[in-house]
Amino acid sequence: MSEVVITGIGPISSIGIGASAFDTALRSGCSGISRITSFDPSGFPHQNAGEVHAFLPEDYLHRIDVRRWGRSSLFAAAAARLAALDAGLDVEAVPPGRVAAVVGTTSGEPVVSETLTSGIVERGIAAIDADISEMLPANRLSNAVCAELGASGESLTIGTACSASNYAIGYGYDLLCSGAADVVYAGGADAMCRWAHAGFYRLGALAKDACAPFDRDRSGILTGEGGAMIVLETAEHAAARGRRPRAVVRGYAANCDAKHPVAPDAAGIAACMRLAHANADVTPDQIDYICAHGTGTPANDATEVAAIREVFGSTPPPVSSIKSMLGHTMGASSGFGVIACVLAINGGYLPPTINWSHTDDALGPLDVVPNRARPGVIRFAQNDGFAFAGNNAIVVLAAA
Amino acid sequence: MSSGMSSGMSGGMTGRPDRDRALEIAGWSAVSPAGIGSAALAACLREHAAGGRVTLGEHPAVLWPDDPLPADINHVDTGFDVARYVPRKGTRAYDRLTALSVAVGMDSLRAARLEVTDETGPRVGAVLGTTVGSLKSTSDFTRDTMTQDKPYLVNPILFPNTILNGPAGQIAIRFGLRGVNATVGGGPLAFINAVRYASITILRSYADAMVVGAVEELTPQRAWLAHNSKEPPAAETGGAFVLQRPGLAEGPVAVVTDVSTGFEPEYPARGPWAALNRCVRAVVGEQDTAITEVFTSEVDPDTAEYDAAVHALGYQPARRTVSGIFGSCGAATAAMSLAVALAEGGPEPVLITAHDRSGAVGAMLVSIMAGPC
Repeated sequence: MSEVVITGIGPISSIGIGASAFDTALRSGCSGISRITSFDPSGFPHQNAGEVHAFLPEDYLHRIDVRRWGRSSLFAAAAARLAALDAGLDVEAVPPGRVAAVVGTTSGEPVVSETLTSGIVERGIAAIDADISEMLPANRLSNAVCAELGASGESLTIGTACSASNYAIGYGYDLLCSGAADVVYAGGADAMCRWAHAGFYRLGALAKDACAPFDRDRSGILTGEGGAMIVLETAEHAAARGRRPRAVVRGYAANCDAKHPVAPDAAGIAACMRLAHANADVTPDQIDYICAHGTGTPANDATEVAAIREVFGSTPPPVSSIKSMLGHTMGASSGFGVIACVLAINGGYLPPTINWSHTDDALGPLDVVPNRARPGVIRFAQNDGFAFAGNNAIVVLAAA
Repeated sequence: MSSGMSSGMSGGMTGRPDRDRALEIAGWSAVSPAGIGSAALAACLREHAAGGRVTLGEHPAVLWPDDPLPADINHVDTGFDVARYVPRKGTRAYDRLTALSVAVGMDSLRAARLEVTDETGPRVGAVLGTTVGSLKSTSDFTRDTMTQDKPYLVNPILFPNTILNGPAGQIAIRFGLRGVNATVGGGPLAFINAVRYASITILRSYADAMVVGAVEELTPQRAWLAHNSKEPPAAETGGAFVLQRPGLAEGPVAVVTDVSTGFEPEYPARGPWAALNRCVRAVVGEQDTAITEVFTSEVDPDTAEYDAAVHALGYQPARRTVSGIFGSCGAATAAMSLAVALAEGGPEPVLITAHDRSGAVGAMLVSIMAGPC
């Protein structure tokens, strides 16, 4: 059986657009956090987020009409374009029916939804705008990727919230293993939205200035946005076109806590880790790095670390959270995690958890790669993704 | 679980191509204006067959007293109470979509005689198809952040309802389904996408059984959106089906022989019909029993989806549309197509097709064992 490999990565993020810029930013522990501009944050006590400021969709998209797609769809399609470029993939050369797109998201097209709601507030519900609503359906995100890249295989948007990219990459992996596709664009996208900012604030989960995962004084997430897409191929397909893979997808698992609509469950998460290891045919001691879900809330980080200890025992590998740099990019977050794992594997380094000041003794001894990236050989990496509704998904990557 | 099922499979696959892609439907249920369940659906179909619109259920004004509603609005089961299906504790935060999804999910598990235990729970999952989740929940929550004295004066308990995976998560919580839990988009294609997702998940051994469904609530938002889009009146419909690997169910009611999805990149300049043609040919394959009915997602007088299916088949089965029975079913369209086919009974295979409004298409072939409800 042919392995499934990653040949290209396409990050559109608050710390950089494109593989090279993102890599540089990860290595230097860059923060993508700034004061919110995509909506007026002045009524909120907390006003920071990981917005993508420099994104001009026309710079990346030649086929779709950027005026007729929402921001999340544009992120997904542009990120897929970047991933195809990074993969050196001649998009025209692959039979369209053998190319699929799978995109994970939390909110779908929230900016469109907000525009729709503004209209309701101003003109009443009977005037709800049918034209704008064309851009609203969640599946538009994967459809945009297919439309932009000329793909006619499956188009699937997976709405499993903050773990959705891992689901998408896992599903893409399955499509390739089962012979249903030769190339899959997989990952996730989400756009900033006021209601998510409000919701997390009201839950007490929103930090004020910075996101500080694993820190003793961590106080929550910062919301964020972006598009994180990768190119998956069978090793055979990559070899046939003379392309050296960046990394290998060894396997993945998805499960459900089935306990609480928002609070994570350590037993459910530990079970997901074990399933992912079994599916990837690795043992815990082989994992060299965990790219954590690491949202920076007291609850998530404690629960995730408890699960790590349960599975890895007393000597887990280094665990860092790139949400410290990006904020929480919602459905794109585990896609950025996979991209970070790939770059870490390729570059021989461990991405840092920035904004770290004090050990949280309650977490026990843990190497969170505080503040500075450092060299490290990564043969196997575990990329964590957890979400509301107990939707857990973990992807295991290996060096090619 | 009621039938023998191994619970220890690690799920790792050796990657052999799946030649046999059939899944069994062990049991199912539906949401219709007459209520939850196959009997309620059958009552709606009898009323429709007798001539005209389904009027069972009641005018929904009593549910939405503060909002104007279009004059031409469908009836719903205004007496629906989720506490008939699950303990009331914990349901206060449910929006209507979540409540209907939990109820129909529960009823499908009952119909499938699927007992979920601590041992088997990790191998039972769920996947729901949707368009935008609950437009009302998202819009009302967003409206609060725009109109309240402070933009953060939203109700945090309602936050999970604004996110697409809320209903699937509650189904898992209520019934202990700790296996793969997913939510997929697709609009009219969403249920076919969900079946496709379940197919991959089960056939690659990540799960042994999945509750696969799609539901749409009838709210003022959906009602006006359908009205302003010049679509048939929005309907409150849905279906949930317990899909399993072949051989696990005692006496399955149907077999989903195959499911295929695709996309037309030139849409709308080129209709999605070449892509649909490929999907139909993929699922029909070597099928030698004539298909007598095609359920499409289209709305009269549009027959392009049916024409594409006919072109692929080379003959003309009867054309059925759930829009003609219930109205705009949204994400529940293909679920209702399957529910209607099951309610009417076998034995000939039925073809179910759908497309969304930006070029995605899909088809599934189902053989029905059971007789009419």
